[in-house]
Amino acid sequence: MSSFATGIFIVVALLALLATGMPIAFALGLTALLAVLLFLGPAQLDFFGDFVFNSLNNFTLLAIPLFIFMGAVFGGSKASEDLFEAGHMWLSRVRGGLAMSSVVASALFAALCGSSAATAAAIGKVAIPEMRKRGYTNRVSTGAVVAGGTLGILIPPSVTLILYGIATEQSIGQLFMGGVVPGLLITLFFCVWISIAILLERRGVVAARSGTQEVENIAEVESFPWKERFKILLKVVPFIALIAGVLGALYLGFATPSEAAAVGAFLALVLVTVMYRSMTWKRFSEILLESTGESTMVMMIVAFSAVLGTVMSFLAIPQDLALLIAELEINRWWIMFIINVFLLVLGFFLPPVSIILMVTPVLFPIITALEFDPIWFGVIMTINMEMGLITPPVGLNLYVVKGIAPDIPLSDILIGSIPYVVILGLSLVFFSFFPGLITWLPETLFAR
Amino acid sequence: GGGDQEEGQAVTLRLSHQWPQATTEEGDFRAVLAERFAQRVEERTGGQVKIRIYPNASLVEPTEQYKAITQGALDMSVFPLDYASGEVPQFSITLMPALVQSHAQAQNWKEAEIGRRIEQIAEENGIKILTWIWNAGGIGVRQGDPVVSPEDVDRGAVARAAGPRVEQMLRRAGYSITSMPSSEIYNAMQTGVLDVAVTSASSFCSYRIYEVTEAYTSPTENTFWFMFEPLIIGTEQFNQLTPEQQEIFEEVGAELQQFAYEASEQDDAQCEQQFRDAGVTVATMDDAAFEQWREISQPVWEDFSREVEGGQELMELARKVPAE
Amino acid sequence: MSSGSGRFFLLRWIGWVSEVSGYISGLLIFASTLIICYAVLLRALGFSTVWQTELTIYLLMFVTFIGGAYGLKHDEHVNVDLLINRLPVRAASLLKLVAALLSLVVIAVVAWRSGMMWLEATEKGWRSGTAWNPPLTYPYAILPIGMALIALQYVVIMVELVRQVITGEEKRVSPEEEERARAERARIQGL
Ligand code: NA
Ligand code: NA
Repeated sequence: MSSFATGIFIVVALLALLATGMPIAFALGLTALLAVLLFLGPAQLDFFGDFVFNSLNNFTLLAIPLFIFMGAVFGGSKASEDLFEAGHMWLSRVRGGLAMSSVVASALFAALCGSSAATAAAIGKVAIPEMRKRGYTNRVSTGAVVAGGTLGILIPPSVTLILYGIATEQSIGQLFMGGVVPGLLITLFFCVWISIAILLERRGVVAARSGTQEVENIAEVESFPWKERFKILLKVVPFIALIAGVLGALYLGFATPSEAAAVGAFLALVLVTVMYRSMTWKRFSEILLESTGESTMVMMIVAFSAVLGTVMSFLAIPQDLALLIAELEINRWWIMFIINVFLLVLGFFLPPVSIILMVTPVLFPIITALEFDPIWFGVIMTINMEMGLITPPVGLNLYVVKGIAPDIPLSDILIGSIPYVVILGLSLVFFSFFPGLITWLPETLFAR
Repeated sequence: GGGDQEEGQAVTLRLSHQWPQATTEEGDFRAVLAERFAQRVEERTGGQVKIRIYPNASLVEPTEQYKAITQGALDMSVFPLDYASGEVPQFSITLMPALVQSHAQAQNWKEAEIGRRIEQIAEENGIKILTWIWNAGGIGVRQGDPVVSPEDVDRGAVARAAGPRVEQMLRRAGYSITSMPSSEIYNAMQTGVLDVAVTSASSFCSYRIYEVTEAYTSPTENTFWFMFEPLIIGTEQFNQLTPEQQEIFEEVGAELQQFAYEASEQDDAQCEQQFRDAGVTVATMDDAAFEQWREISQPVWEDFSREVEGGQELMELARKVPAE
Repeated sequence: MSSGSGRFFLLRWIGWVSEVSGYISGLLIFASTLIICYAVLLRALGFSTVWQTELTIYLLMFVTFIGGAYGLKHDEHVNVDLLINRLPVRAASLLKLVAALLSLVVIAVVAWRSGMMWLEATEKGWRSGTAWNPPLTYPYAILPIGMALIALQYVVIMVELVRQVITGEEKRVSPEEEERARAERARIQGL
């Protein structure tokens, strides 16, 4: 069988197994198993144990449970309240400031943890009740949280970028730095949309259709004394210092990603215990169990997708596919467009971790053959994954927010969030025209 | 592996290595050697034996290649033998710190008694050596001055040296140790995981490590690091070839022997030049410094003789190999 | 399932083992954090380190594979549940049963192969071939043990699924509770 036909078989088998609802990790494992039995012969099965074991034999992977641990430490703390409150006080004079402060607080919280859904959960718990109290519509308030949460995987640290870095042997420090400028710009784009959305609601354009009566008292501007503003800023400073320390240590080469994550997690624990005095043994064991549950899930997918990746390498599928595409006489930007559509479709159904792990081994040879910058593509892929966190049928952030505010209809959450998918899609185009916005920071910082 | 064959049916063998992809003319000489081997075997067997090459550790982790061959997932490799010292501790004799001093001495191993012992141990453990390849190693430093003698060691700095015995010696010299295959050095240096790397001159160049180092100790004068990285095939896979094909494999392996020796020696000088061109501080190791390394290597030699079955004998045979 | 009969006792016992595997794994995440911080400190002070990196990798493997049973018990393994959510209880339970059996195939193969690997490494005294060079029998034990624990947890899950297929009744949960569980799952999956 040609490697192309083999590749099709693997894709179809994987999709069929995923549809049964079995854990993604085991669906990947079973696909690999079938491929070995059918195309490589039962003798090759001997190596199956080693494949699984060796896929995790990697110090850099340790960064993942450790960043998850760090995120869990912050997740249940009052840090999200302080970040949101700081955003609120400083943006209080702007119309829609509260929704914008949800986005800004999400961007800051994203820098404390590598997960998008965790970011949406932490900020949403604080921000949604506040926004509703002050008359924001369901759509504006939930949309801001859903979208702000997606920044979790773009603004470093990011589990997605770590996995991409390992799969493609790119510097994780550079990838993290590559996410900074787009992260900040997208935060800005989101805020711009919020002011437009508020304007539209004021004119009754959106609200008329949604039929809500909350239009009257939307987003009254408030003002806070400067003394209070600086006081809240002081509370946020330790978190910013921690982020700067972790990223700085990475950038200066003092620490590897795993070491930065370990030291970051340890300091986070100290910070939360000292600042909020709310750490109990019960809370501590909850944090550890939460980290275990998330880590085992991600790492199992890492292990079994690596097994499938190895089997595909044995069958020479990625290599042949890259050759095939490199020989096509198509403009490379068309291929980039097709890749992004493909990723978007996967994002409808699968979480970012699975997508990155499944497609990177196949896509990366193509990316290299077409001479796209690997750091740039890692960030582009992550922005694309952010869309998947919002799009139905499986939009994880939508469900996170639904869980925080059970009385808001899912349709309102969805309609409020859809514009952000468009913004993220336009950002992909924007960063394709201005790739320097992604590559400039890592290239400058890591230049020798 | 792909070794199963019926009469007259073509087979494809899988050869994996950890260096960047090469052609039969250009690239890391170990990768070039693999390409030439594959090309000649295919020609001489009239296409009956094809060898598909997986470069750049694209198939199996470099350190896993031995197990992959013995389990039949892989057929051939250009393999740093000491990577398998966890399974076959005797293999460490082929990367013992400061034991081999020059290319001339390394090349004498094949015909000496130690050479036959190594081939025998390899075959008992499921692999057959087709071409002998030796590499001299340099010392790359991420930041700071070159490391020439043990006195230059920056205590606590993280080093990597391929193989537990050299790493034990470096640990005695004061380094922190993290083990990784040479294909990961560039990334580890760039990200600060690694401060000091000891690997073959050829790897230093084919992985462009001069881009991420400030100082380099070239092996052109002396080095405590000589590593054996032969072209190998699984014995089981070899036995499944027809007698004529087996003969072709051995002959082609022997034909490439001279190229392997010469290219390795040339690489030392060429690589030194590449480091100079890249603006890296380059040093060499004088005899006095080499003696210092040899001195702190003694306890490691003793450990090997004591801990490893037959280690004492291997050590004695290795020390008998003439230096010129 | 408060029955004192042996069958249910066994199911409870498996649940308890999965729970313990989660607690141990959690502690090992914390231990890895401390070990790495310790190594960073040692290096900063100019002392050498040799075992820290490798040990923490093995701890991570423990967390992944042995903590896997805990993850499964708490339904923390990401899946695509589009189809299942649209089926009636009986059909959904049947499909879940099929999915569990398919998962067990993978688990069995990995347990078998990694078990053989452990046996070989133990008999032949394989070591990791690094500067620390620990015997591989210990890290190699993680995978077969982890797969065995996951398989046991699947047995518990399948017993419940069989009950659902037979009775056609799902475990009773309030809609709010269900939504909360779903959001919790989304949070866990949304990395
Ligand atoms: Na983040
Ligand atoms: Na989606």
